[in-house]
Amino acid sequence: MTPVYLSQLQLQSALGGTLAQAASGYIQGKLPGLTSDNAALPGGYFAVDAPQQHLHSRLQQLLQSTLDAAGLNAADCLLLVASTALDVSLMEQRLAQGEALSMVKLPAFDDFAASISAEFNFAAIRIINTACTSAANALLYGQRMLQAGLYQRVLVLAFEPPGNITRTGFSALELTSHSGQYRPFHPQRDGLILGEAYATAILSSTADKAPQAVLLGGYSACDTHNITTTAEDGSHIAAVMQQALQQTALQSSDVSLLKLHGTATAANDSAEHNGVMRLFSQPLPALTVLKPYLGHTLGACGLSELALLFAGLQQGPLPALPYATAASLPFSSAPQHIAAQAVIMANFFGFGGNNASLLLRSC
Amino acid sequence: MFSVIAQHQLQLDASTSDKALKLQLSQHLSQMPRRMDRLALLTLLLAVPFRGQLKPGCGIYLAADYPSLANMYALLDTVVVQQQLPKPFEFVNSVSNAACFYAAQMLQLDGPNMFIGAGNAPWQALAELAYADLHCNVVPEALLIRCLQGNNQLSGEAVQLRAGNWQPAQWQFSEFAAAPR
Repeated sequence: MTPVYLSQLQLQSALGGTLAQAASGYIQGKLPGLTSDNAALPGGYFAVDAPQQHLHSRLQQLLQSTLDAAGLNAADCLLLVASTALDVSLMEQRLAQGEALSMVKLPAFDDFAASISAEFNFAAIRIINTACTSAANALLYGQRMLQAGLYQRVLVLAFEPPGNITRTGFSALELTSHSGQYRPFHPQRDGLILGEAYATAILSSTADKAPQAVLLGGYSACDTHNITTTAEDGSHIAAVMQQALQQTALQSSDVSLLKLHGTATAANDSAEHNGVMRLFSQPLPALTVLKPYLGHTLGACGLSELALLFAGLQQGPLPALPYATAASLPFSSAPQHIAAQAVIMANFFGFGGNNASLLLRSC
Repeated sequence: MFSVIAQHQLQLDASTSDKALKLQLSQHLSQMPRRMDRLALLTLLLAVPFRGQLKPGCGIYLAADYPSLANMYALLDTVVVQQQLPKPFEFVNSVSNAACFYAAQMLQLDGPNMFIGAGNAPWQALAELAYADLHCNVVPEALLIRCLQGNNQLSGEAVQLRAGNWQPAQWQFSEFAAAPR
């Protein structure tokens, strides 16, 4: 696999309206404030810490600022859009305002692409929805399409807006936290807290303006064990991580930092714990989880978490896990210094059997 | 670029019920997955002729113009109009690439599995993903499926590809169907 550069990382999240703000909070171990705006949905939500904005307007500004910062025209880029909800939240808003529900008004996937095309002339637009691996797959396929010579640049737009279908859906599945404490790999973890996020990155084969990370490669595959949970013995997760290493000609011993998916749901954390123990020899690489800082940003997490991680690495050591001694994996209870150019593995798993593992280096 | 191995097309009456689709599918399967929505049923009907014909590690690439319309309608009605919790399986089918999952399960494939939204010009989008994986030696072959439910349609096409020297000029399914074998 030919490495590609990630540049112009941008993020709007609960931890800050900009990536710099979020990274500053992250390395200090600051957690975002919880929005408890719906009594029917216990546990709250991590909403973006920025003025409310219409979804399309927010995305257009984000795309334009990313292109401007990179000095690129939209026509130079393939746009890969990663999201589970897309603009269904807009339909929710219209219904909540009294518009009648009608089958003919349901949004097609092309509607979203058309709204982007009305403002930008991207070389092509692809909408990727593989649940919580959507953005991870956008990065992987962006890299592979660059390697195959199909495009010169790829802009990845990953976002997950707030929506009642998503929030009530995870609540109906009894996967959301009631305590309001987001604690992956804690023995008393009680589920996930959803988060809102909007993120972008430019992928290119050459080091353009100020690259922040190098994507070495990775692997993504389907576990047909169950539509909502991967095999709890960790076998599929371990196999995907192993395949990711093979794709990049690396060994597990080359990995200095493992960014876990870490949803804090009982089954996912157990499966990931088992997968990690299957693949890695002792001592394990340094470990980190990012969902406590952003919430689970679903289809966007593949980019939102990497943006926060690499911006954090540029600012200082990664924060300790406050409950490290109680966690089921050996997290550090002290801030972690990660060497420049260290190999980082990042895991992302999702409904529909989607498991993905990426390998990266900081620049 | 490609070598076309096999193809399949399906054109159904849009008024065909989900029950009728399940009945049609059950003629091919001894055990039916439960709680599939209309998009998953259509996907499986397009994929079932390829059972036993695909190499281990084959990638599945699915494009659809809409999610399952009845499922999305039910979710919006339950959650927004009636302000109740959704049925778990309706929610899971809506946020995951469930149709791809059921196809992979039926075909016993555990390789890459991609879902993209595409209506008007899906074949270039699908073929580029497959080409990228074939070019990078991530998959030995690819199964591309396109489903249409909008504009009173219920139809789709599927094609099995390997790396080769043939390339479509216009990225139309008719070219894949007529490509030399």
